Amino acid sequence: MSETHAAINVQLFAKFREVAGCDQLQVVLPNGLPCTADQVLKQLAAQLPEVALLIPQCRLAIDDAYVAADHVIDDLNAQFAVIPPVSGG
Amino acid sequence: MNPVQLVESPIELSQWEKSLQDVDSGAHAWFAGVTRRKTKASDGQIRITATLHYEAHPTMAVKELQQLADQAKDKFGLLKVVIVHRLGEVPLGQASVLVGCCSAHRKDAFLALPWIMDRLKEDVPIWKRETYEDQQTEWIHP
Repeated sequence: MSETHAAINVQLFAKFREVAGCDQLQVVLPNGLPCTADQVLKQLAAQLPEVALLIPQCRLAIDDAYVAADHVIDDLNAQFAVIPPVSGG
Repeated sequence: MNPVQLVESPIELSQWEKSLQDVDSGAHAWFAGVTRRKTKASDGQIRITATLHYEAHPTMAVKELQQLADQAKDKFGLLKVVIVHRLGEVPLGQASVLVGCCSAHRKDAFLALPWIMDRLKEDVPIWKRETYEDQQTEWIHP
């Protein structure tokens, strides 16, 4: 896959999983790599408009750890997850 | 028994009490979060819950809970911390989460419980889905 047509697989949970109908979604990165976590979330909003309003409250996790919105992604093989607002307890 | 766990069966306090045993501890404190029947919606209406379901990003949730337990130990000088969260269906009136801690004196154990719970509700990737009495369902994303 060329860098200008990069895509990453993002794990989905809760409402995102339910709306997408699957627990993983391929998010296409129109500008390739590198890109930021915030750009991934915005692209996800475009692909899942039913939950786009929740995206500003979501965080991206890479390899089981939260990353900041300006975190630069340069490894397509990491494990990505979108974490909507949590409600455990 | 690992003191930080996600479980899919009922949480019984009696199973966990020994996890805090420490001869240097003078205080054991426990908090159980229990599934509740009534929820006040944003429009002020009371909704009646029939049952709740919890799901997690399991590997990340355990990692976050472990970090939380370690931070609480450092911050409050706790000797031991237990955090157990239940996943799957949790019928009304049953514990969805159990947090326990012990310290030399009661003040630290008392202070640690709300601190742990507040952070759990901010950062640990666990979500609940309400099923209301009319069978409508709703994921809670506060």
